Amino acid sequence: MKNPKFLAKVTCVILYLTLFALCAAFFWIPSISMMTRFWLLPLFASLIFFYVGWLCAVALAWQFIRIMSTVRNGTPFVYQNVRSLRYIALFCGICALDFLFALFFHPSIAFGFCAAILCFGCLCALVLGGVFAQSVQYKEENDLTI
Amino acid sequence: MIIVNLDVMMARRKIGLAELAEKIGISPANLSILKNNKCKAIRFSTLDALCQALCCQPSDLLEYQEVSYESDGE
Repeated sequence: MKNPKFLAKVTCVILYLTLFALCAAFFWIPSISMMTRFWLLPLFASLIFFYVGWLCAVALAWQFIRIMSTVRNGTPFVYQNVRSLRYIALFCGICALDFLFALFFHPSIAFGFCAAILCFGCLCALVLGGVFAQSVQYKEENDLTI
Repeated sequence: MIIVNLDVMMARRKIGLAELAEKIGISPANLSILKNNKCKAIRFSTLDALCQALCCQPSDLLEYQEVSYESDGE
């Protein structure tokens, strides 16, 4: 990879824009729920689905920003990133449950597929968190090798 | 437990931390970690450079001490 810090900066910019867009989208959720209440989900289910999804998306974007900022600083192997990856796994899991909740009201392959992908994402984040935890240990040992 | 007797050898040879660090080519911070027994491992190249700079044997620098892990009941 030629310039990882430049790519990390670009990724950070995209993530901040995503976070900004998500904050703006918060005010559109009631309108979207009202529009979709007849053909997608009942109103209360729609509101729960979109608000929980929105919360998870904001939390995920924030954790990704925290990870990318350590990559930009050149110190990715820190316990903070292990915690961030565990939070990412948690929020992916909550999002998957959110889609399963929506699936209960509106059985569709799309919702099931999204839930499955998010479950897989949760597992990937857990595995990566385990790998990062080991890497942090190796780095600490290496730093204390004179 | 391995004890590093670097401070003893430095006192015998009357050499300071900064001077020794410069002689062997490592930073004073790293040498201080070694001196205070905080390091996890030492490279042979570092040990070789230390023995050369301090005119001593590795056994002068490294000592094994048995550590008992019994609790005192406190």
